[in-house]
Amino acid sequence: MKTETKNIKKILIAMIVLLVMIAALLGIYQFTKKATVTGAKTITVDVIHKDKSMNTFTYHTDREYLGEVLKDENLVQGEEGAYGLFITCVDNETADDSNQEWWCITKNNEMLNTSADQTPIADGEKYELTLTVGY
Amino acid sequence: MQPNQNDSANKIMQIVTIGVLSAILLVGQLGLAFLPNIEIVSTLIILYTQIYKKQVFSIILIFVLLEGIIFGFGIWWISYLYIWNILALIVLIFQKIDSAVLWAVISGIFGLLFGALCAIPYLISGGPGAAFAYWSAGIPYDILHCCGNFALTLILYKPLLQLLKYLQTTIEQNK
Repeated sequence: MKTETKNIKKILIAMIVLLVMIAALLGIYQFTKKATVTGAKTITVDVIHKDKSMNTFTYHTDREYLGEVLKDENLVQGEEGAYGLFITCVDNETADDSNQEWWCITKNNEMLNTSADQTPIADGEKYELTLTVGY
Repeated sequence: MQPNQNDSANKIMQIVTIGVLSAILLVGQLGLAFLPNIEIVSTLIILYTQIYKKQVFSIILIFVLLEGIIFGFGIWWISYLYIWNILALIVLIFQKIDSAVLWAVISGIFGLLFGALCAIPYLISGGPGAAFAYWSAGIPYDILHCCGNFALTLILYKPLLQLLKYLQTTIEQNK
């Protein structure tokens, strides 16, 4: 009986620890996530192809996320997945995944940690889509 | 059977077992890859560690090498080199626990911390800012990982533990 009570106590404490950790992480996420910007904005997207040639596109938009703009403008195609759009084709060039090719999204040449669909945009920002070989 | 033959047979059985268990980890991982951050690898490593103790590190090593061969040896792969071993070490520390709920909580906490553990290579390559940005952007997926790990371990812990114990006993008896 005493052991059983002790076990129940352990389980309850463990569950509370887990729930507190989840709440703490949610708090950190809400506090640190980048806010979306409403209204008109202009962004620039550089597309760097496999042969290193570059095409620059400038878009005027009211959209709030990068993925929405890229799809509106038909610059990208891809597969909708759990993490948002997985870009497979940009500016009519398709990444060959059998050759470990993929489209890398960067902002001012710095790697993004979010997919295009989860990346909020602001006026004047510059993004790059680079065909990258190797995971 | 002579003692030397017996040793060889045991060694072969050990190698085969490690290979098969690594393959099960890989198949389990690939089979659930279409679900975001839902994986059975954590549950299986918890179970393997309980039955096979330190041999689990060989199983993990083969699994991680196979993952690298299939998906490429990117920066994520570096985190795989230590992340699953950390889970196995935690299980070895708490191996006396026999409650499925407690193992589900441990598995859940591991899922919750997965992104933070994966951020360590980014801490080295890009500094604290890069590591924090990587980790914080993935928090919703860490929470999903936590829920998936909790549910899968809670459901599968007891039946799979019994199955593994049964297989282990059968192998021992046939030696």
